[in-house]
Amino acid sequence: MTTERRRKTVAKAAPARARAPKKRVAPPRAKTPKPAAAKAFGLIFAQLDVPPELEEEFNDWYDTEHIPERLGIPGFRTGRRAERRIAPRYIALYDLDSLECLDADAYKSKAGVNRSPWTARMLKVTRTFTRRLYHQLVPGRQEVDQTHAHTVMRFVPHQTVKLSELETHVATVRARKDATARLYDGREKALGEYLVLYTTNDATVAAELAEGGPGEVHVYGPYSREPLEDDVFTNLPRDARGASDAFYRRGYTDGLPIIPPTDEAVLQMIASQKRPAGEVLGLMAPRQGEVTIEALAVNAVMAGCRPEYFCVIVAATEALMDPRYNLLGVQATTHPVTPLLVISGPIRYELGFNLSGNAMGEGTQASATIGRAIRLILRNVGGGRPGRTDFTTQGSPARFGFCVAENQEESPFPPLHVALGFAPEQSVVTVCQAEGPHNVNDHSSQTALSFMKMLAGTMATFGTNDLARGGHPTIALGPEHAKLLARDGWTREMVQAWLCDNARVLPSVLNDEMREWLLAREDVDKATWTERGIPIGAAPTDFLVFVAGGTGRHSSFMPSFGFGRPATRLIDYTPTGAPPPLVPECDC
Amino acid sequence: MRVRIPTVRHPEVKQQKQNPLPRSLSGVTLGILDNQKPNATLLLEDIVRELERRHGKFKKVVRQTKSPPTPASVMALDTLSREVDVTIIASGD
Repeated sequence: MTTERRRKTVAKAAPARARAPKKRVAPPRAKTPKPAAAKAFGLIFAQLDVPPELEEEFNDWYDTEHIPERLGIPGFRTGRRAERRIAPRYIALYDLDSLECLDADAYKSKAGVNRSPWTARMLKVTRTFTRRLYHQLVPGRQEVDQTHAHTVMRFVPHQTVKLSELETHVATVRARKDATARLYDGREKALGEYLVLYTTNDATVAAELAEGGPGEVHVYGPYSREPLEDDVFTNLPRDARGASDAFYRRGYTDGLPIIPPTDEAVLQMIASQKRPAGEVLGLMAPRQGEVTIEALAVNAVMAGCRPEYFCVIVAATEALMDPRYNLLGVQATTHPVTPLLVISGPIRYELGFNLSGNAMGEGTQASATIGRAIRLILRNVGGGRPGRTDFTTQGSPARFGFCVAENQEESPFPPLHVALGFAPEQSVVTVCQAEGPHNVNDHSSQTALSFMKMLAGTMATFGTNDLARGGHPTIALGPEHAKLLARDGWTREMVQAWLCDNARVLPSVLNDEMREWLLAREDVDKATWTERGIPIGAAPTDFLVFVAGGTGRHSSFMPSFGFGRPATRLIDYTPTGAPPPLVPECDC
Repeated sequence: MRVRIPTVRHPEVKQQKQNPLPRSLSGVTLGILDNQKPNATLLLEDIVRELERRHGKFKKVVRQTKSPPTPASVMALDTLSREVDVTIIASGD
């Protein structure tokens, strides 16, 4: 039903228009009981907001501690929350037997200096906190309707209206079937102010009740922890900044602007994979979010992906959910680990990945947006939120998106995916548990062995999880270093084996606490540690080696998380031989 | 403009009812579940030492999770719960 039609229907059903009173309107005079202030119901109105990054915790606190605690206090009859899109976003309304219950010891034992630690902490971070007290004038002793979804509040200073006018207006609304109203008088900070509180189940009626009349009006919808209703998002601001801000405010983004995931864009993304939108790929840690093709597509659009990229995102997500990858650990740890996507196979050309200089850096749409889509998926589908479920101490710039394509053309070794057992014509994505890249600058080595000593020496450092636990470090060899290795007859397998044997840290150079702790471990073979050092990977295949980047004598390695291992998935993709969908027109 | 929401429904986290805590350690078997974080281990050792100082020696069962980021399996928890009356965990990092 269109808004216009709904308005007409409402008007027909409720001939007495529910706007605030005007002098010419003369509805039947209400018979209102003369309230005795002490016996009238009381009302606490709290209005507050929190920074987006604390919203989940704020709502946890409100729902699981604060409201239940308040309702346990004698005299508190109901507690109701409501929200709206603009700040201050949240309100809470409590019906009280009377305002006198706020003077009782039962209340004081849980308020002020006696509030709980969580309450104290949350109140410190709230913005625009307002708390006002009212007692009910009309009808006197009636709770706020708990079944109505929409709340309209009209705050009217005494001097701007006659009480009799408000009483008449409230009586008129109370005669309607689609809404109800209560009239309150303020106390303490709200002294000198009336409050008309309307509730209804019809958003159109709520808008109608808010229209015109005296005082300041606030309109609130139902509070819900569930995703927003469609109607909220049909009203998304049309300008790019406004739409992006709306998503940021909901905590859906990585802080950068997003492309709005319109129906059309999402359907286009889904259509590229020929898989049903509702197909469930599994549950994603840490909050066990149901991973559907549609959910992935929405996040891919937001990240700026082209539909052609979606096959990589689906395959990478499947790899992330491989139990051996240990996504729960990756999402929840204090370590700065993030998924690194390594792309190999023919798809690298056709999607336009950067195959040469700055391969891990900015400037290429495929690498940048696919890596970013994975981060948004981890956040929105998996529920990994820093400070709530994700406890990374410092994070890492690599968390914005970390995706690199193999430079197969300048690699003297077989392609990574072939080494992993796939056919040359196939394309695959390998997800690694990676820290950000650490450079290996070696302009001096003239032999493969010299370079390997430089590489192993750089990798064998103290403060990595690889040393503490035995990890799966990733090594991106620069093409010039790779060619030096090949010139001297080294293969990928030789590089891996040599690193396993030589990228080690001698216990004697460690600090006492670390040495003592490592030597106390009972789950590893320590026979060679004292003589040859502590390895950073237990087996040669724990070192993932590929070639990436362009000209220059630089390589890099990414220490790993140490708990879990990389996972590889075939990308469902048929090579077309077509050029990349979009490339920069100039480099000037 | 109509847009899709990027989040999905997550299962409700249900708060479990807590068993009543024993008033003393007399006759109680205490479970110590160590997640192998170095500081969690130290914290648990200190707690056990302090409890023994206050209450004397008591029966205890010490278990370790597989690794710090790997939660104890449901089966492991079931087994432990049959062996002990109370379990202490630590999450120091």
